[in-house]
Amino acid sequence: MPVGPDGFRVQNANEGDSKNKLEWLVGPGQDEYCRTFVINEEDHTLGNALKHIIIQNPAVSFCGYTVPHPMERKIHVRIQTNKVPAVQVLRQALKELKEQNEFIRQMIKDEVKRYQEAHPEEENME
Amino acid sequence: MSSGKIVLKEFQLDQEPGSPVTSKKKKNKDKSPEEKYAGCKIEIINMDDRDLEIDFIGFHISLVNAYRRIVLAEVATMAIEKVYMYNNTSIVQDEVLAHRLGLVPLKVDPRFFEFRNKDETEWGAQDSVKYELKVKCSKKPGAAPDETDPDNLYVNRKVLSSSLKWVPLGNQTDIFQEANMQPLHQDILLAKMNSGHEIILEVYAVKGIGSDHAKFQPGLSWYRLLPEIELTREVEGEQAVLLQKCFSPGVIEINPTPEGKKVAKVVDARNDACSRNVFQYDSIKDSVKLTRKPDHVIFYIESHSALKSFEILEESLNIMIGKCDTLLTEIDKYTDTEAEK
Repeated sequence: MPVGPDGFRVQNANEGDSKNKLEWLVGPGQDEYCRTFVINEEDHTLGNALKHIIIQNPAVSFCGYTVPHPMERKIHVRIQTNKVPAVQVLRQALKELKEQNEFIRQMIKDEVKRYQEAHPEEENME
Repeated sequence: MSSGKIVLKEFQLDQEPGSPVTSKKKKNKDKSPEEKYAGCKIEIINMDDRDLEIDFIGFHISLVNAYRRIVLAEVATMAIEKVYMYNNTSIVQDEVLAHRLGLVPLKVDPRFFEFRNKDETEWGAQDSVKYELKVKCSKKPGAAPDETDPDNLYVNRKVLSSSLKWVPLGNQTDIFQEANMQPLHQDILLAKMNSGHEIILEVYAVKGIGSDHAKFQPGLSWYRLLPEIELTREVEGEQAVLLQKCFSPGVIEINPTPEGKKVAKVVDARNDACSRNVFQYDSIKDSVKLTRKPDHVIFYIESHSALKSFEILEESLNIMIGKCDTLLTEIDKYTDTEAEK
């Protein structure tokens, strides 16, 4: 990739257009209840976790994600529902994912504290 | 109840019907987090500053994989990025030496620093750390005339990472102590020199992430699913000894029964490496059922940066929550504009 004189990556001519984080495709097969969302600057890390949460929603009849091309950092998330706006499903899933992660974060903090209290002699050795 | 366990057969992997509780569709409305995740546990098996072995029980594997990916690609560390070479008469080429310097792990805590701007030309105190290396190799004055060991003949024959001296920028002396700005290991060999060679250079370390360059990875992280071994029939005598050899040490124990037979028993399947060696031997092929529990993940982190192992895990969780937050604000932008219409 092109490198400037300072050693940092030079922006492509096309990259200058500020990309939105979240967009959705338009065309046949896209309406309020069946949408393909395009999330920029994300990969399987978020895509797979988000898809798993969306699939658990009983209102969703189809959900899948894909990375259209490995050289472009974006994912397409397709959600098909029955009479529930797809944006709402996405928003609910993100909230649930965030809540789950915050819960896990707290669990880990508690567990680390519990372990450190249960093993104080190892602390002194370090 | 059918649990969707993964069965390891001789030439294939099968999955039992059913799925672990986490994957079923549920009506999650109005449940508090404690109720939703009642069956889920996190247990630390082993922990110190460097290593962490932690069990995620009841969580879906896509979540744990996300943490692993974030540790490798998005948790930030400090590493040397720019090398200003003033003099290098050693036999190690400039670019090779610069590459090696980049890979030296530093003890600098990345949470005190910001990411450097792309178009920044100055090295500021809030985003870079400066080191210098000035080493000259010369003959040792008091060496014996027939000395052959080059370490005794010359001073500074080996350039180690301990020779990197921190040069504070701006107000860094108020915030940091020298002991916390050193390379993680003092005995990393950077270059070897002979008499008369000299290396003088200045380096700047910046904050970066693993997806940019592997030198910015804070550590290793990997996971495996909990193995389970079930004996489908009694295995005794010579077959028991053979069975014990097929698995990792400590997994199968041979106990004598009151009748005098020696019978194999599964003690602890956790440490098994799942090599499926047992399928090599026709006599005991049918005596075991090897499975993996899909919702019990054994997660490992090894740190080789300033962050401790559990701090790396906490950072990756923060980053995951940050991703969700960014997207939620984006969605709210759209729903707000739609509501205005």
